[in-house]
Amino acid sequence: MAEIVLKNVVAEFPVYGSQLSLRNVLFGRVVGGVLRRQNDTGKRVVVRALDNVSLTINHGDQVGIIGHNGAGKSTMLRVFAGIYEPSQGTISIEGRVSPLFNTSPGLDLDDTGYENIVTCGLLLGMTRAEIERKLPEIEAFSELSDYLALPARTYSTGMLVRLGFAIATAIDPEILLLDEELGAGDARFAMQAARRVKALIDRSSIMVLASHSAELIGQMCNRAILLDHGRVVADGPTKDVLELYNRMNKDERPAATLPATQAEESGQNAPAAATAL
Amino acid sequence: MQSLALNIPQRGPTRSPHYIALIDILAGLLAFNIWGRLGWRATKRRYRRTVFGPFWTTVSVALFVLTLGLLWSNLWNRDPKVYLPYLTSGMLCWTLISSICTEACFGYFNNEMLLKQLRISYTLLACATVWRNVIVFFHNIIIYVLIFIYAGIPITWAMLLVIPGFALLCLNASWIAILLGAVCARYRDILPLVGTILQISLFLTPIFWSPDQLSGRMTVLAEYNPLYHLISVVRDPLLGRAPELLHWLIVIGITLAGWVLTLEVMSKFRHRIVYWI
Repeated sequence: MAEIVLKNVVAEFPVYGSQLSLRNVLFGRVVGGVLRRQNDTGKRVVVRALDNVSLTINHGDQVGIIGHNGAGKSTMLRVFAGIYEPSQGTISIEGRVSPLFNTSPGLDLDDTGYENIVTCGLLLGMTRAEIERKLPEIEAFSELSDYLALPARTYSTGMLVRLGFAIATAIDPEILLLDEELGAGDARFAMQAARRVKALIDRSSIMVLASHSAELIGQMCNRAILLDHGRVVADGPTKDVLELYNRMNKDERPAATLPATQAEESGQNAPAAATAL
Repeated sequence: MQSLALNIPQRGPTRSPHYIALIDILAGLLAFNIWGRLGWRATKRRYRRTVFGPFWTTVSVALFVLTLGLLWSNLWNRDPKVYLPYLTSGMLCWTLISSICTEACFGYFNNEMLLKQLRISYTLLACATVWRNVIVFFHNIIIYVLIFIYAGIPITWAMLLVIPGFALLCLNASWIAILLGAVCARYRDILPLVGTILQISLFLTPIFWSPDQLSGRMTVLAEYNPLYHLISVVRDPLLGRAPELLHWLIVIGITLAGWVLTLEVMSKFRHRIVYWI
């Protein structure tokens, strides 16, 4: 059974600037005094992207993570994927994780479509035999036919998207992590893409989708988590959480130009929102 | 093991950092179908649309060795049939080591997209760098073969020792590549430093000259130079003689110490690398 459990997870990004270069580490040791005093006043600069998050995602859950830009959606996906390890708290995951944040890891413009299918397929965790088996399906969905034998450099942007999408969605995931940027080209392709993503989601045991689009999450998920400034504001059935999200949008719009007040407001909103559910 | 290299287990109460680092290293080394492909594609790509392809490196090394070899054997009054094979085999080894070290510095930056999507083995990426350069080395071997025929070196059984010697060289190159990738990601000053050290090492290591030409205190340049021992276990068999036992012992010692160091560093800092790139 697939499962994701987070307990009091904190994720922080260190900000590296010139002040942390090798020179300072060396001179900090040799010169001590002045430089060290400067270093001591400003502690290590970190940005807290997830703040004390605890949640459990069970087998069969199709979870949407919703929130504004910078709310911590992508970070949360990357914590699930094990890319960013929490600086505090624990995470435990049962099942194989398939992250699809970018459709084509290892895609190279100088390689042909076929070569890219093999490289990307291998990196996405498929075996050669599996790639071989899925090739007709990938060929058909990408609709690139003869172009697949040409270097990807000759493709239009839309064609590249189709190729990446066709490869990425060919996997058989257990825990599927999707970022909203899994975009689609023209309108006709968008519809085909939606159908293919739906099939991909149905093959998985757990799906987590991060997006700021309430509509998309409403279509794809049976549970939603609302994030704000790295905290879980609400967690529950999609409909209820989206309602809250829309309300929050209306409330906060005037404050958007003033970051300071926005932060204050959301701080007040957060407990109220949690009790509202 | 293949999927483990692309999906390193997450840290948990039962999994120590050492265990994770060990999986990273072992699964990475064993995922030869993936690093093999990455390295092979990169080699082909680099020389697409050129006539000689990777042989351009060979041509440049050949010209360097020929002109320098003929000039210096004349200046130093040495038999070109002795000096040229010595210089060539030494240069081939040094070129391999130096190009791996230079490219390893970019090893993790260049794969940022991959590292931010997959919990992939860093060792796998380092192996791809090593493999790419080993392929170039095998192209360059043709220079050695030509010089070998010109100098009329007798074929001996000791030449077979080039196999374990070369394997040891690659094993060392791999841990160096893993560490350099991480250190260069954290401290951007290391990159130019590596270039400078490599350049000086070419002159301070017995490649153009042989250790018996040294006298007095300068003999430390050979005795305490790890690069000299590393090169010797490949160069001596290429010249038809068995490397001294001391070379083997020192190289095996460096290999063990290097991998233990890598394991320690990776268990301590593996989870931080993604924040550095």
